[in-house]
Amino acid sequence: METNSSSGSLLNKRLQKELMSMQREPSPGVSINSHTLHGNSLSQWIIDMEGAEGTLYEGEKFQLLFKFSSKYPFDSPEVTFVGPNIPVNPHVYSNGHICLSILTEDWSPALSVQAVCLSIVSMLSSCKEKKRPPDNTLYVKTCSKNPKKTKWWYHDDSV
Amino acid sequence: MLIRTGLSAKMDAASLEKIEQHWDAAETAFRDCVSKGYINESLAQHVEQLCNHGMLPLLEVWLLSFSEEIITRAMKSYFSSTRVVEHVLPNLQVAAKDIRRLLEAAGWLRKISGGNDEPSVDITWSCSGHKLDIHEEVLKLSSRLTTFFVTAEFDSLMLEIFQRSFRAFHRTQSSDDCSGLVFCPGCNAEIADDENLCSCAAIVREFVEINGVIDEIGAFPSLVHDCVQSVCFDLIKKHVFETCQGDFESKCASNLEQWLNETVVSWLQTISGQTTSMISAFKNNLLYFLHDIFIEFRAGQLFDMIVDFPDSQPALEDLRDCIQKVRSLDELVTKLKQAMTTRLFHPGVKTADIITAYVSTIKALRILDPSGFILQSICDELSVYLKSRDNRDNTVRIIVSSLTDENNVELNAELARCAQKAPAPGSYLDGSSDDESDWQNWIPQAKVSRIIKSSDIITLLVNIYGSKEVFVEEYASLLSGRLLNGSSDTQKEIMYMELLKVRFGELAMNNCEVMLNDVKYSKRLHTQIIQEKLGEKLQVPLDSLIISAQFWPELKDETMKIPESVTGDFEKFRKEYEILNGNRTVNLRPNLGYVELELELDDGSVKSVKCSTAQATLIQLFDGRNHWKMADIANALECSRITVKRLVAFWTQQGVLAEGGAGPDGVVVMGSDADVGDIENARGRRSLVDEEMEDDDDGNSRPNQLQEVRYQTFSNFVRGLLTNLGETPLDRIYSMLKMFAASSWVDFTIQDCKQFLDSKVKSGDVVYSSGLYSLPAK
Amino acid sequence: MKVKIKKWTTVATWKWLANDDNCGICRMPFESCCPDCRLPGDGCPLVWGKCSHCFHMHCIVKWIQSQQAQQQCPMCRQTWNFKE
Repeated sequence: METNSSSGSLLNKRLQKELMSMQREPSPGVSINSHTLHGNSLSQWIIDMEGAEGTLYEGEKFQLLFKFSSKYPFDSPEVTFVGPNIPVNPHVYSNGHICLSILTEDWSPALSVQAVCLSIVSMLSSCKEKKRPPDNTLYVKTCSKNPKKTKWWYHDDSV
Repeated sequence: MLIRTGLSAKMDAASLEKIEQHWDAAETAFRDCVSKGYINESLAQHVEQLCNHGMLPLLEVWLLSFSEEIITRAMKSYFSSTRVVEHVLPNLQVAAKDIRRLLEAAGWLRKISGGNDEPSVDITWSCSGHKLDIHEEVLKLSSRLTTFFVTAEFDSLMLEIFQRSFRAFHRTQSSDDCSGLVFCPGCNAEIADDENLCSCAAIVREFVEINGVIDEIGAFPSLVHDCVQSVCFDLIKKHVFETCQGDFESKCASNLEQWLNETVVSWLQTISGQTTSMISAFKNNLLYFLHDIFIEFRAGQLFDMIVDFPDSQPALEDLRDCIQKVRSLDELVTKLKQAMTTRLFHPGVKTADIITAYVSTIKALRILDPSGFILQSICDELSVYLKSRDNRDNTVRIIVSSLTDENNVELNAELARCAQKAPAPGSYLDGSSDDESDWQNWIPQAKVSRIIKSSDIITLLVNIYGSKEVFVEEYASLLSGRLLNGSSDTQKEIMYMELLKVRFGELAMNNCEVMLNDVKYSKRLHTQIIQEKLGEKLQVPLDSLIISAQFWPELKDETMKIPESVTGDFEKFRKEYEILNGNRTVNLRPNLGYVELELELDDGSVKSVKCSTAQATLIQLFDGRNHWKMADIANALECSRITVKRLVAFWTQQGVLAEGGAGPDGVVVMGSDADVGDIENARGRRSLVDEEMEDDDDGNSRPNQLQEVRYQTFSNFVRGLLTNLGETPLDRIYSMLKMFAASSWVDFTIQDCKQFLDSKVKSGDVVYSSGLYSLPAK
Repeated sequence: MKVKIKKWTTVATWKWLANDDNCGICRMPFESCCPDCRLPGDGCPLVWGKCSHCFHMHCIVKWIQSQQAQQQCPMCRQTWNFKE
């Protein structure tokens, strides 16, 4: 019990700090959807994201759902695209799951919501052709709800 | 006719006719009874016959309507003919005659019908088993009709009679000597020559007679009740006001009750003769009124009783007992609130006095009202007021300082006592805390009632502010102040902290604990570094307080020049510190700390002073030099002239320096060769400076600083937020800021938020338009 | 006039000699303590890795224990080794 409550307090303290810094120094095209923060719980955030200028996604709007476990930041957040517009991208499945190594095995507690968002923006920006991953249909049928349970093999090590 | 229609279905014409004869005979008997005053017993058989036919109810109805006619006539004529006191009794005798006869008739009917109470079964319209006492009914009717016809004029006549008879009654009962009086105090008759002219006894006799008649015809409640009531009430009121004025140190309610029994009730018994049942009901009324008037009277004095607490404890207990007997507390609360508003809730009263009054209020009301109802509404009122008052931080400061002020015996003892038993969990209105399960379970105001009932005084004081966090924050800031200017006794501070820990929890007191830990650790460093390593190598007797900045309240960060001997010595200290604590270093905060000085004046006198580092640095300049120009001091200290002026003011107040002693910009050492200006002049200026200093030292500046620091962080946050969201309404900003502020400003309200945003609008950092805030266009 | 200092109590703040202000794991200032601790400084010390990154000792130990395979520095992903 003791460890639970203390890691819980770390979770909140850190998320509060991250929230503050995202509000104070927002990065372009990424903002917290403040509606989702009502109810005093910080364990789920929704991030509004805009496709960067000069990329295939320019003018498009996306939403990311972050779910934090009580082990955050020692455990990575669960991040998926949600909402009406899931970007068409070789690393993004049509159910919103994202194939990005920092979200699973390459996670580091030094990363943050902001850093994850920037990685996703840059992943989208480096895309040269809008298409779904080759195994999209099979994956979407068989995968777990939680993308972190997927054993990923990363399509492209450069991301 | 009624009888025909009622019975025709069941009876033949012959028997109907017979019944009609009986009826006519009975009717005659009753009418004769009233008009002639006697009953023809021979007619009783007709009534019996009618009763045998089950017609008693009809007969009764008839008698009642007949009575109504008679009584109405009698009372109408009685009230219209009685215009003066002297006519009350004779006219009443006349009016009562008819009513008495009616009652007689009713009694007769009751007697005759008594043996035939079983109505015949074949009479279907007979009321099922219902039996009424006709005599009683006529009495009631009389009472009702009297009430209906009585006039205001007659009422005042009765009142007059009552008052007169009460005076007369007391005259006859008392043993006071009347000889020598010109007029009898009872009846006002001129008795100087002959005491037998006194008509008191006659008045009482007449009065008893009136009451007797009134009671006989059932008119007592309607004719007399109001009079007795108003006479008694006046009497009681007067007596209460006379006996309970300003004495809170003894109980008087039981004396009052005794007085009521001995005086008023005995009078009632005398005047009313047989109507004892009336009197006992009436006595309860009077007792109720006595308590009522007593409470009302005391309620007006409640605030004074609170002020006098604990001397007023007997009076409070007295009042409590009465309240329990009588009624709701609404009026008491209203009156106390009124008194508080006029006497306590205004700017002329010092916050400290309000707090003291509050503590007394809590204690006094605990006695008065164990339910906590009054206390709760007063607490609400008081906390609303205190919150609206100038600045609340100042108030918290006063509470905290009185808690730890040894001279404030009351609260101090309270703190020590409460430390022995920790408050029940949840007795504070918790704001957010570090525990995540806790900040979701924030306890709303509605639970105050339970808290009021069960908590100790400190909890109630703390809850004025809605959260312990505000309170603890204030304590930390006071502690920081004491530690930094060397005015604390570490042992005591640790003791207080331990006491407060029990009250507020370890987590809340963590910062204070680290602060005191810093002090302890600094002492060790003093031994390890200054005594053992540096010793003789130091130029000045150095000490150092090494603090964990993250845990201390926001400290003023000023660059300021202090003597090189000190900075040089500190450098030596720093090097030793780094050796001792690998990977750590220390940064000097030159403006913080304190200095103990010994000044040797030119006349040989020696003065010891404890002062701030800046004040010490300034006075160091005068070592061996008695005259400086302000401008030169500012240059030497690398600070503004305003700062110099402020520092000089401290020393003029100490009687060490004098301003303007040698030329307009000069500062000289008092009494030195450079001091040529006249002392009086300097003194005059000094007192002026004193006032400025007081303003400055008030401590009011500090809370504002805290606010500033908060606002600074908020500014950045709001800028980011508006960049992100564009135009945003107040409530949205508030909910974002609230989450953000959850740990630092627990009771952040939407008003605070609006105030803050409005200040930003004023300064042009934010634009407000049609309900939305946004950043100004670049 | 002669001014003699009987005692000058300086106030100073202590600070870690680190290349950053905040712990990269808990984001708290180094001079504060990790979320599990109450007392800073000796109570919640810093440790340095061979890669020269530093963290609250309690934070980095927790991170290392939570990793199954290789133990990396959260900042630079080099294999974590405590600096001697």
